[in-house]
Amino acid sequence: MKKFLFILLVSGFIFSDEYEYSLQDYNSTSPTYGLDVWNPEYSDYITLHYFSSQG
Amino acid sequence: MSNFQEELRNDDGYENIVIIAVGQSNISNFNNNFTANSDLPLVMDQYPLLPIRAQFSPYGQHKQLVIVGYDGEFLGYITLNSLGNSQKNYIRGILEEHYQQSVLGDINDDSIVNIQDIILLVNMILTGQTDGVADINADGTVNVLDIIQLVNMILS
Repeated sequence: MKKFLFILLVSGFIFSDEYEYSLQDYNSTSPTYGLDVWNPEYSDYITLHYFSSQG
Repeated sequence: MSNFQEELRNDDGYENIVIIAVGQSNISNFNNNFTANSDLPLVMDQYPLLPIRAQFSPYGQHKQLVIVGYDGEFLGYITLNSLGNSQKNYIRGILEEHYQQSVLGDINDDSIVNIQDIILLVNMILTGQTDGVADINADGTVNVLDIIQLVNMILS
């Protein structure tokens, strides 16, 4: 039973589609410059995360 | 991208959406260029582990835009080699389906403006833990004037 619960818990974690982070805003021209986004700033927003790396 | 955010907020009425640029900590010069002439928030994924990209995997690839709901749930993604009407319409479609218009004065987000919202607003002011939804009169501060306006809204 314990093994079953463990597997259930782990699989729920692995396959969870919920994201979150709280990181400092480094853009000096942003209204939230220096604050932590997306939590707590924008925590009640729909957020669009644009990923880019060099290139 | 910054212009598109303004379009969504001002033209389409999606005020509570934000586009967050996710750069990488090992390419700081690039990060500056990434958000040049832009007011988008920029966060840096810490190299070499890149935990944000790991969290968003299999999404979060170069030029991908990942759309996330109020509870952190995945709503959709699109790779933006360009930002034309088809890409914009895809994003608008997702927002149209999931965006919840906020009701002015609905502090506890139960879709009703009543005494419970006043109590919550008073508590927020007393504890100093306020957020944008509490700024009823939109003057940039949350204080007793917001309580007065909220009371007037309920009475009227």
